[in-house]
Amino acid sequence: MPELFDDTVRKIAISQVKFAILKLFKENPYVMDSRGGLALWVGKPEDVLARELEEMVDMGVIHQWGSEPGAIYAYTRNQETRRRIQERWLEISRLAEEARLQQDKAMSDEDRARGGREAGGHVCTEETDGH
Amino acid sequence: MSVQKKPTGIDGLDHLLKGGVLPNASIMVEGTPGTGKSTLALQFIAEGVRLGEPGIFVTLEEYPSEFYRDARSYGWDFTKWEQEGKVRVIATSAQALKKQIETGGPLTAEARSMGARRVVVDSVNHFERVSTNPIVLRSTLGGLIHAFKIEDMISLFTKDTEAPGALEVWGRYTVDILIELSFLLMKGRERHRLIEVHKARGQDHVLGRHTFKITDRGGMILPRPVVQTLVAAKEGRPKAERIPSGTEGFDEMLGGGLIQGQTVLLAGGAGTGKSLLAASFAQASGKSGRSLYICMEDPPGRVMQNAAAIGVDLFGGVKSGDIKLLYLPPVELSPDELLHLVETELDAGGYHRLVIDSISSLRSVTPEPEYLHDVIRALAMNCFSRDVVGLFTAEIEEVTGPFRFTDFGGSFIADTVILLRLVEVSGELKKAISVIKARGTSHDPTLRELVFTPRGLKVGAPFENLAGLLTGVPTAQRPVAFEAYFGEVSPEQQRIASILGERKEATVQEVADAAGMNADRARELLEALAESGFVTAVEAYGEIRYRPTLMRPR
Repeated sequence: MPELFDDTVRKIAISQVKFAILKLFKENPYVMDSRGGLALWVGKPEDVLARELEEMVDMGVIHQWGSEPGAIYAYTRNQETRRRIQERWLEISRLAEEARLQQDKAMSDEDRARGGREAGGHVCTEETDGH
Repeated sequence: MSVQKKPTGIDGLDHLLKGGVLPNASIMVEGTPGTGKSTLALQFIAEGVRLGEPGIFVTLEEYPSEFYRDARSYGWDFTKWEQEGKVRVIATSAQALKKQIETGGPLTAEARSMGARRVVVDSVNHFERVSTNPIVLRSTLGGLIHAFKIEDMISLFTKDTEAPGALEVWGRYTVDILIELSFLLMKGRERHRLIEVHKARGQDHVLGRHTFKITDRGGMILPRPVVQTLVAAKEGRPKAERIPSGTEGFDEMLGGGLIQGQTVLLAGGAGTGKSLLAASFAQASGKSGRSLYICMEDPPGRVMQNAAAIGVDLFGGVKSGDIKLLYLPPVELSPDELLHLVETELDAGGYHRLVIDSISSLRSVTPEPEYLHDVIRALAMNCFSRDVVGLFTAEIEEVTGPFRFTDFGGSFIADTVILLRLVEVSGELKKAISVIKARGTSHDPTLRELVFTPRGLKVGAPFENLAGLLTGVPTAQRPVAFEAYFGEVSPEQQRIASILGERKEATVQEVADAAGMNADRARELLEALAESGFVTAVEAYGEIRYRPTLMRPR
């Protein structure tokens, strides 16, 4: 069971959307809203939220009432799960921050690489133009 | 049989609703941003916790964590109450709320599991995201109200009347109780919050707008004065014991002191000694009960310092507890707040004296003179119902010449009116004091000098042989013996006039006895003299008394 929760912690931490959803529920344990409503509370597009939310329901950290369309989502009613999240919240936050920095770095590297490629292409064009 | 009302727990609101709301009532609190809707809504839930009625706060726009923070600043620990199962702050969207109410969901389950008896929805403007059709909106709100009633809950909805594109009227007809919060702009800059119950279906309520203040303990409603209820409190319990004024010679002017339960208006221009006379009155507390001294112009330190300069020791009274000195600068004060404070303090008991220095300060924070008139009347009735002598100072702006006491009818309300004026006598400014009116007692009709001594104030001798004192620039009058005009009246009238001249004041019977004639003849002669202007008739103690007119008759 602890291993399973470790996996949950890792999956939440590496996803900015999952982390934002969990942070919303942890700080406001009585949020009860539709997928569209939650998208507004966390400031993410609904379609991005949909897949992540589904996974979190499967993980057991989010409770789903009814089925889509029209389902209502709430924080898990399992007090043990809530306690574990509370206990490991600092760790989850730290991991999420590390993951965010890594993602930022990766994006930044990718941007640089793309910039280089585009610049190279442009030179090539100039050369072509020049000849 | 009347239905038992349920108190909201919010003091002033229950007063406006005459005890509370009917079971499962729906309440709409509407107003512009900043008027205090959410605070009142939070308080409704917090007071429910105090009364053992768990509550749910549904927010459609703010994060619950923001409400926890806001509530904490008023001393309400919503986080702790949530852990104890007394409160839930639920964040949701209008669509989800509608669906949950229609088909059931976690909100309903939560309400049932915690036994919620109160619910707040903040704010219903968000239903306009579901539809902008007033009929649909009305039906959505109606559905919510109905669902909450079934769950045996009192519901409170907030509504912003200035939200962008807000539809003005929907919902007003759907709820049982409609409360409006608003601002009143004073002096072009100061904002005062007001509350008004527009309707309360199936129950009586206090009409009109009342002061609503937000304090560090939440909202505070200060109902405007309703005088009739105060009158009823005193009915059949008249008391007319006198207490000393604290100024030498003043009690004699007043026929023996100030009468308990009466209100005294002490009106005068700047520098005439109003505040010092008021301080002397407050200092005379102790054996005759405590004094509540409300200073509105100067801070307590300055008031005590000024009084000490003429030998009036307010500090000692404050230290011993005989005097309670409160400073209420009028800038942020509303008349309703002053009234509430006076009522609360006087209810604490032990007071026989109330000083408000000055009542004119309220003029700048009261939109209409008529309203201030009501406030003064309510203050007077508070004094009356508690056997407290209320002494209110009032500013007369005119230093000389024609003047008026107040523009809010203060002299009409007060039982006793004292006028203080500066008068110029032989190139010197002196202070004159006179009793203009004194209900239920005979009083000295003369204008006397108010003298400042190192041991306090003293009422001195009357100004004699001067006319036009009240104008501030009197003219000298030649002393005239009453007999100088005897040539214009009959010898019998001369005799009567001489008796009055000696006695200064007498009834018909007293004159008749002294003259050795019957009362009817004496009355006939006195009335003729009064008509000619030689004597004046004054009503006191329910009888007519005659006084000689010292100046040359008209």
